Amino acid sequence: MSRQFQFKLVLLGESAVGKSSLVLRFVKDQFEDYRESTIGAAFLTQTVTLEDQTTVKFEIWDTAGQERYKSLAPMYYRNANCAVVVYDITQSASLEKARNWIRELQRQADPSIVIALCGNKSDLSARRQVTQEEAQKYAEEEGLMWGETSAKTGEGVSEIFLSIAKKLPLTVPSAAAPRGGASARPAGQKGVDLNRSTTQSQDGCNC
Amino acid sequence: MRISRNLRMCSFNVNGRPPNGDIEEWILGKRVHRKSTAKSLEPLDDDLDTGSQLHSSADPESPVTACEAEDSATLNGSEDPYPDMIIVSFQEMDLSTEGLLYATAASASKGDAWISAISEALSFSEGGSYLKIASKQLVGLFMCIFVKEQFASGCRIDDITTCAAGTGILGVMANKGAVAISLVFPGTSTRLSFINSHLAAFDEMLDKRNSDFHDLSRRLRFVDKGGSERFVFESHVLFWMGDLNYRIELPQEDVRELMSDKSEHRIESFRTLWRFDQLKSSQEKGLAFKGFKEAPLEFLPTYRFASGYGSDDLGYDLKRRPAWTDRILYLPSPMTPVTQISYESHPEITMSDHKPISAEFLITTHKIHDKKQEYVLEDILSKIRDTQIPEVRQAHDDRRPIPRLRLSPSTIELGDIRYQEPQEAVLTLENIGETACAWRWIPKSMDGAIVPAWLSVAPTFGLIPPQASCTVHLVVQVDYLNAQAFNEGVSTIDDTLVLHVVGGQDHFLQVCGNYQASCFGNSLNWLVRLPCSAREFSKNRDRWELLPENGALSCPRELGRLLEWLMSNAVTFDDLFLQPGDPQVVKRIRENLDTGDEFDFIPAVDKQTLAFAFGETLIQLLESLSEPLIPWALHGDCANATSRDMAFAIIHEMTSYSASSLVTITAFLHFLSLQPSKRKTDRVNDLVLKFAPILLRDPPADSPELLASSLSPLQKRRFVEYFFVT
Repeated sequence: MSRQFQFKLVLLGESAVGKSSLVLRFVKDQFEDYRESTIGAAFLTQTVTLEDQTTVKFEIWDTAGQERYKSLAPMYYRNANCAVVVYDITQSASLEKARNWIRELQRQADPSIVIALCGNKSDLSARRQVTQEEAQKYAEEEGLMWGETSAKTGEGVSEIFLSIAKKLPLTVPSAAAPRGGASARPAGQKGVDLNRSTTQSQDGCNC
Repeated sequence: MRISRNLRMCSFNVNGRPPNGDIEEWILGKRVHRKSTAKSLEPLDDDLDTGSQLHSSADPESPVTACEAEDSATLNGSEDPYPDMIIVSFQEMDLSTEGLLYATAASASKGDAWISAISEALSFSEGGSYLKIASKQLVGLFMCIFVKEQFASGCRIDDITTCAAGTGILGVMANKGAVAISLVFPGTSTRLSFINSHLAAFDEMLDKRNSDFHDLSRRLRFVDKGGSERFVFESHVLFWMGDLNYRIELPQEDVRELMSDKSEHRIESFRTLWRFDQLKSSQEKGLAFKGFKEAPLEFLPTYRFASGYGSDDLGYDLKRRPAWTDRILYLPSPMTPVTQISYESHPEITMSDHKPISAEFLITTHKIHDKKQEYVLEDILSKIRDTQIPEVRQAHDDRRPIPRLRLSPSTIELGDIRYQEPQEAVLTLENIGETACAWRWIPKSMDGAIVPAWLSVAPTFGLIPPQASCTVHLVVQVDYLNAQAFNEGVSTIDDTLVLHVVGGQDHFLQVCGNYQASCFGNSLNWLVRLPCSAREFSKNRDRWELLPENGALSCPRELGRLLEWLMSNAVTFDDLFLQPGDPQVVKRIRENLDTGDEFDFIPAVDKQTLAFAFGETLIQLLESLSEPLIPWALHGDCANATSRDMAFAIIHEMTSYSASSLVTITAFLHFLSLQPSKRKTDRVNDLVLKFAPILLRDPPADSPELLASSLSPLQKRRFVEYFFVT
């Protein structure tokens, strides 16, 4: 029988680097040239299946990148299991913003959070301002996952979410673990096997 | 000369029990106590009635004195705090088998026993003694009226009439029914009527209760000495009290849980219960007691109490759903202002399975000095009655001069109208004819209302003597119930009212204003498709188009702005959302949201006031949505959700903007609940209590197919709690 896990994933990054486009590609395999900028946050889900038939369901919180909504971010990344911090490879300033987000996550978020740094718009490499070497070096120093994507062509998109899924702690929790969804566990504890949680939720504590 | 009089109503279903223990607080209210003497005046005692419908006027042999002597204290703002008149109603005074069918000597003596108990209680009054001026009994139903001694001599016996009607077995037996007393308050021209009724029992007998009301309204008639009949509604003020037997339409456990709320939200819990009260909903649906007013129920249900093992922690019978069976309502008229000053139960009295209740009112009336003046008034009143009967009017038409009325201004221009900011205008009606002019507003079509939903007028009818004038107040208010069409530009503030002059020419009055579009009172779908602010969109419709469905925003711009502000400025305030906001500041924030301008504040406002105002604005914005954030179609599923996973599965059924708006708000509330707080109560619980009824608001009363899946208050809380689990 396959195992199911559920994780909360938050997307962060400067305005217009393509966070919502990345999610749209990942969830619906679509792309729109023009999108209204996100207000507050958009909420979507997507499930990925790993080679061993384990399925990982992401609750995705796609946050607004505009400076005015920056103050809302803590309510989304608090209790997130993983974060994708996105920059635009054609805008070196957007990598600076990404560094700020990563510093904030390392300070404020759950210490066990898995962070991926993602250079989007790889289809525009002719106008590249951020080299792969520079970004990769920074990611290695900080112990982050790193990859480049193009929401427009789809290149690298599913790969980055898949590798996050593999990096997440997919171990069966002990029977004593609290029930009621992946994030009902105390900070730092491993993922919850959703198959178990659905069969036992009747008599379990719903907190 | 305007004077005010204090009337106290007391009602009690005594379950056949004789008087036992102290009842003075129920009869006189929580006032200072001191012993004095009470007398009983016998001659006005009504004979015992038997069985079905009966009416009688008071004993014509009694002394009749139209006395003008007034106690100066009561005239000049009264230093005596005790009621001027006390009306006491009993139900089930006699439960014997015979009592169900006809009156017995035993039931009469039970009445006497209660009269002495009341007299004893009245002796606690520090403000002089009381005299009984009238009583009426129909088997177990009993009503008696006491007045302060100084008014008793002013009582005109001709003005006191009583009647009764049974609605029990076969529709006439007296185990259920009503007794009524009508009188003119001594020294005034104000006619007051009081009804004490016991309506059909049992949860499922709602229709019978409503039909009892209509039956009694029709059959209760007062007959005066001259033999002329008057319906109970022909009064300046009509009070209707008794064991009306209406129940609360909620599962038993919900009722008990809400009742046992001892927190600061206690009143909120009572409001919730009251919303499910059958009498309130019958009134709202126009099924019974239409137009009657009732003060908010802020006391615990008065039925049904038991003792020992059969009762819960609060003393209620475990087998019955607690209910507000005992009630006091009133029907005012424009001429006689009524102010209710109390409405309470008296749980300390434990002899019955019901608790007694009481209510106190101030009525404003005119003192009459001159008997002649009184007759003139009577004459005018009879003329109004005449004009309302077409045949009578017809007969007089040839001889009478035509009534003529002048309206000023002839058009009502209201200027800018903003959401939830009432705008008032005054219309003057001047009688320029030679005869009295009766007028009223009439609907433009047979089945329509006299005014559109956004407008109210008062008074709606009147009588103007020649050369006199009267003013009519018109109030325009756009609120969440009617704003949508104005915001979307489908309709405008512009209507024509018809003022009908009896026997004369009708007038047409145009009412118009300039509505300022708002982000309040819309559908979520419209808000997320707005390309700019609501005001800008409405002002430049040729420039803007709604965004396409697939290009809609993730969440309304205004919601994002409010949350962003709150997150940056308000999370440290413990009572955010739990304290009301300053209406002036809320108004200012709303205007900024409507125009899309940056927030600009009244300089002197402190941070906390500002925070609460922002919280209030967010709540009002959510409440104003045409459908709650969680759409009604999913409420049935919400009721069945038993885990966070199931709750989140329901979110996937929503449109992306509903889902994103909902999780954004609940994420904020959850974040807030985790902030350090000095509150004594659980913050999660307080926030859930506040937001559950907003996020899962009930469908409107006129959509039964949606109402079927509406959630109980506790189901709503359980569902919203899942969003407070990370």
